[in-house]
Amino acid sequence: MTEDVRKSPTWLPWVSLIILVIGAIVIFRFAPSDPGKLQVATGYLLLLIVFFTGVIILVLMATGAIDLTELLEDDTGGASMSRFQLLIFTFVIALSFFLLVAKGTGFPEVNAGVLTLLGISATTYGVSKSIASSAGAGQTADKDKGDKAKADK
Amino acid sequence: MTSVATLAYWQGLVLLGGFFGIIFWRLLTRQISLAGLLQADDEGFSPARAQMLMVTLLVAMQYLMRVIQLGTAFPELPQSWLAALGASHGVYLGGKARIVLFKHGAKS
Repeated sequence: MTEDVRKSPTWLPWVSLIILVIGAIVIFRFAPSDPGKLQVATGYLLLLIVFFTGVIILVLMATGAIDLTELLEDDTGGASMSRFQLLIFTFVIALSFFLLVAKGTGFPEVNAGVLTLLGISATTYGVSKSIASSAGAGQTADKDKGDKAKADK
Repeated sequence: MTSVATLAYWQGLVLLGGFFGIIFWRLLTRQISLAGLLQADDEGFSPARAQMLMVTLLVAMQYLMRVIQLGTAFPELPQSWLAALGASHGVYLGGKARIVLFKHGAKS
């Protein structure tokens, strides 16, 4: 925990906050009278907020403050197939969503096919996780029984 | 002056590209480990995992190709694809559950 705090660049949130405050002051100083301009200015401000939030997360991931080494690992320490397929489908749907929005056809309707695809993927991850945890519980119970038997002897 | 839509496009590109880039870079440099991806817990190579990997990659690539070709909306998926994907994942989960049950069944 201490190491994570040390790794994270503490200046980044402050720089982002200062830029946002300056942006807000400029926007509300120069565009308060025209509702149209105010709407556009607020849009820019919201974009800045989302962008800096994303950049902070990206920087933390890149510097290792957000640890990704166990992203695909299961409880046994090996790579988990259920996590890997969930990552692939999340990438595919996110990329598809961005492509559709970027082509300017408006906000795309999320149809049943997408939901089914993500549903199968996420359900597989959930069931796999529950199987793994029940296995862990079983091993703990076996260990407890063994300990008790040794104590009885 | 740059429009809000153009700015949003470039921001999305930077954030998504950055996120994907970091994940792929970590995968390539093995900072995110894929060791044991095709191995069952104690049984070595796992055919169930291998078939799931192939079906997953196949469906994901086909879906992305369809999105690029269609370009206007999320494409409808054929029922046969969903059935194949569901069956593939079912086989994987069945294999995993069998290993867990077999282990504890043999012990008890």
